[in-house]
Amino acid sequence: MAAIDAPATALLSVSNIEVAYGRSAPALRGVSLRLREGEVVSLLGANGAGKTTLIRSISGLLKLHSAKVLSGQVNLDGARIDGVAAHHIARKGLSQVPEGRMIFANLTVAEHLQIGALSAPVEKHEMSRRLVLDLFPALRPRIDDQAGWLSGGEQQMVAIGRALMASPRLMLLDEVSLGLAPIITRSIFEQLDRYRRETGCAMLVVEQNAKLALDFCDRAYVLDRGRILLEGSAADLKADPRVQDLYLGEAPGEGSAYTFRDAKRYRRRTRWLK
Amino acid sequence: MIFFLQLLVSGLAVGSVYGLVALGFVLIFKATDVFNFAQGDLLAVGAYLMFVALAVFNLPVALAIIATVVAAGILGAMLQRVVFKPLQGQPLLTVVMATIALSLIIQGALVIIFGSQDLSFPRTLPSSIVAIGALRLSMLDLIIMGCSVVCVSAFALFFRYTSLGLQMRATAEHPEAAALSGINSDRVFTVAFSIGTVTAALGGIFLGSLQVVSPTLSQIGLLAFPAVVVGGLTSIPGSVIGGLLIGVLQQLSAGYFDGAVASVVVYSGLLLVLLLRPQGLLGRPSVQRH
Repeated sequence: MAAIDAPATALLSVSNIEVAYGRSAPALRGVSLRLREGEVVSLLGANGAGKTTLIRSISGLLKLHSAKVLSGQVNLDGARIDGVAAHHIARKGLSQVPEGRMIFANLTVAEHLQIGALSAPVEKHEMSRRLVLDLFPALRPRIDDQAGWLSGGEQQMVAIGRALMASPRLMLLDEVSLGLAPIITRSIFEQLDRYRRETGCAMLVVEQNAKLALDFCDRAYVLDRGRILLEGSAADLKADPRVQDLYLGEAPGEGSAYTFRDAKRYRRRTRWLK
Repeated sequence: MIFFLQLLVSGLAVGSVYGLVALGFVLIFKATDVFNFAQGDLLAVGAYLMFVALAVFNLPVALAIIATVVAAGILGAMLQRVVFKPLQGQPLLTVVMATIALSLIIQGALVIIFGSQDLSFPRTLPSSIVAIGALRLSMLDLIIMGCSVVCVSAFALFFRYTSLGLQMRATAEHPEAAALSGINSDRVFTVAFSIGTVTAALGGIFLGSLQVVSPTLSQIGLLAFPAVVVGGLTSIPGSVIGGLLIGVLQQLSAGYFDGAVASVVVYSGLLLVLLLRPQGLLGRPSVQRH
């Protein structure tokens, strides 16, 4: 598969970074990634592949997790952001919907939207609020309810709404589908797609559900044990037998049950692919 | 009946001081999750700062209060930067031990600087007696109650309606999510410690006016803890109601019996509330749907 040529003017560029937690072995090794203005890129990979670490490297959360960038750099709109505190990065137009939602359980939905808007100019607040409630009308009747009492799907809408209130140029979406019913997940991704089309916001999507991610994105990277294994357009990756085999479970002749032998084969294959 | 009412008013006055100190404690806890055992010592520091402003710098009472409040705010910010910021992310027990160490350091430092003798403010708030029928009330008690009500209302409104108050609540709940939303947690923590120290210092000024200025004020300030627990660890009105309850119980039992009985009554009341309502009178169990 031919790698997509990275454009000269990337909104986000991660160049050859190596990241480690404490004194342990690096969780990311020589990872590079580029994302253009308005583009949607997915990060695929199994548990422990390094997806969340890569997201933390971009959003400035490494320090909170006792991790650091050992080498390489992260640039947002040409400015270096590795080592910059998360709250500064958030004010540069980058929003994140974190894994596990991280809602403020005792705050109301309206207060979440208020907090999300802290990074945006005041004149945009009302418009963003209308847009969020338009995208997720289920939040309207719950606007004064404490977020801790909402259903999982509603909480995810609150977490996304909070991120959208910042009128971001780039959104990081970390495992948005986690713990949600397929119908809710589908609806949320439809609204995200609508938002992207209306605003041109770029998105970096971390998903274990490879099919969902590849249907949603323009390009994707496959991470495995801290390295980029594959990269390409969504269409190319969907057609790639290795991705079908490893992530989509669609390889011809494959049995329906995933056996221990399959797992061993998977490990051999990914070693070979490197 | 007159005796009861006088005890009740003086209990409300002392209780409003406990409530104020408890409020500072709750502010720090709500914003930073730090259970600050040095809160009683910060109260004593406030009393000594007021003493210095009056006796050493010869300031008028109003100016001395302002100077004490400003100095306490700066002290709180410094404590956050020097002691608590490096401890961010450490286990709860480590932070608690640090606050206990801080408490002992403050107590020792006060004795080294001022000695262990009792001191009195050379000038103080008006303390004339107001007579309402047969009831004779101290003006000082009334001023203290009034100031406490104003402070508590101001802080409750601050938390509920200001952007910084909202940021403090959000940071206390989820520092990581708050940072991702553009909230500078260092600034929030610094403001919380400043306000918490200012409320403790105000408590010190009032308690120093009601009694004497001595290192034992730290122990008296510790009565804010039952107030916090009774009220509910995160509830601002709860901390004030807890403080008033503790103050009234203490004064009534000391008036009708003696000081030793007062301790038994106060801590039995604390135990009873904890047994019947572990989250405190106005505290809420953590909200999370599963």
